[in-house]
Amino acid sequence: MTGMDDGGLACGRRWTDLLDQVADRGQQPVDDHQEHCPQCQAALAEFAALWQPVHDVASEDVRAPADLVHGVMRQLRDVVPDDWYAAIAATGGTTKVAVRALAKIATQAARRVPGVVVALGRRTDPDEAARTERDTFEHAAPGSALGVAGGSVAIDLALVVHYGKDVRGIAREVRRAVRQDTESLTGLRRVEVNVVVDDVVVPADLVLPGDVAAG
Amino acid sequence: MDPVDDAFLVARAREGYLDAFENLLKRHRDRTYRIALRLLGNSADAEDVAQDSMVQAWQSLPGFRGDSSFASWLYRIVVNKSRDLQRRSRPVVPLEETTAPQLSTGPDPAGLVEGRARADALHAAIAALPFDLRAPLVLREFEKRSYVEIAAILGLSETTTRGRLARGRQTLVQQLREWS
Repeated sequence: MTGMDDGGLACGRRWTDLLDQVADRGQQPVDDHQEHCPQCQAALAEFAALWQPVHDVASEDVRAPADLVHGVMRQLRDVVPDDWYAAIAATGGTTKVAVRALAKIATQAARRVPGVVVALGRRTDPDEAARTERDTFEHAAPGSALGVAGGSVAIDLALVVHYGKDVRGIAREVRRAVRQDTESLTGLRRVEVNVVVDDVVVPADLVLPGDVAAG
Repeated sequence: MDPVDDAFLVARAREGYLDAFENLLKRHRDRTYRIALRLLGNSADAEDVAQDSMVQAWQSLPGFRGDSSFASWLYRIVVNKSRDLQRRSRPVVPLEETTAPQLSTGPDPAGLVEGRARADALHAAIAALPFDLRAPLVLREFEKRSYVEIAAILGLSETTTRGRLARGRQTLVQQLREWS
């Protein structure tokens, strides 16, 4: 056997080193001594056999439950106050649309615009919304303040676009697509879309040797 | 390859883009869950810990300095939550008191039963390890993290990490040998 009680093999090598070797790199001898030492080879073979179940379990394809992230996001939306609604008056009642639902519609619309790599949405910061309201005299018409219950909505979109595309053109197209989708899906007609182009993705074949790859 | 890296999404998430955080979680959900599963040994606890860890990550995001990768930082939360759960829920079972799992006795044409029994024996042996030896073992053997990254996740020096990993391996292989 491999002398696991006294720490060393008859040849003087430590079994703990051989075990680390098997676990990290496998059973192959790594030096001349191991090539020719029967004790080392026996120990390597035994550890490889004992360690096999570890490899087997490691190669199992274990995935997270399908609704894990969904459950987390539901919790976070409870934590992050998101009580803004856009109200749409209709005969027989009022329809309320949560701002996060509008943000989702907006990001989906933005992602379809050619040149857009990533679109992330959030509701516009309340302070920002208040400032815009003040600047645009929206307060003169109660209930129509940006984001707050009313008929108008402001959404921030952070975009990453492909290198070489006309950024202003993409931003314009995104605003148009978002307005069109929110209008047709919700009936809201006063949607303000703040577009922030946050980054540009350079195709891998344009990255010159010596550049630091982003990713 | 993903068009944007984790650091970009972390920066946006810190600005309040919940979307960006959701993207980050989707990237790392499998490994987050798997680490918890291998540390705790059952899927119900693993799911709880994975979920708690993700919520905690959002709450702690303002304090995340970016000294390590987002992944390492998240896995550290998972390891800590797993340790906490284990401490609360059951006392550590000393190695001597664990019983060897039943090995295959009946006919086994495909070797499947034996393979299953060996996997069960492995899980029992891992569960019997003290948590501080189990964590580096799980991150190394099942998640194939580098020594440097494991040290960062566990908040230990690389030397301590290597020492604990070696001890974990030794304890594990001795146990597996007794049961074989």
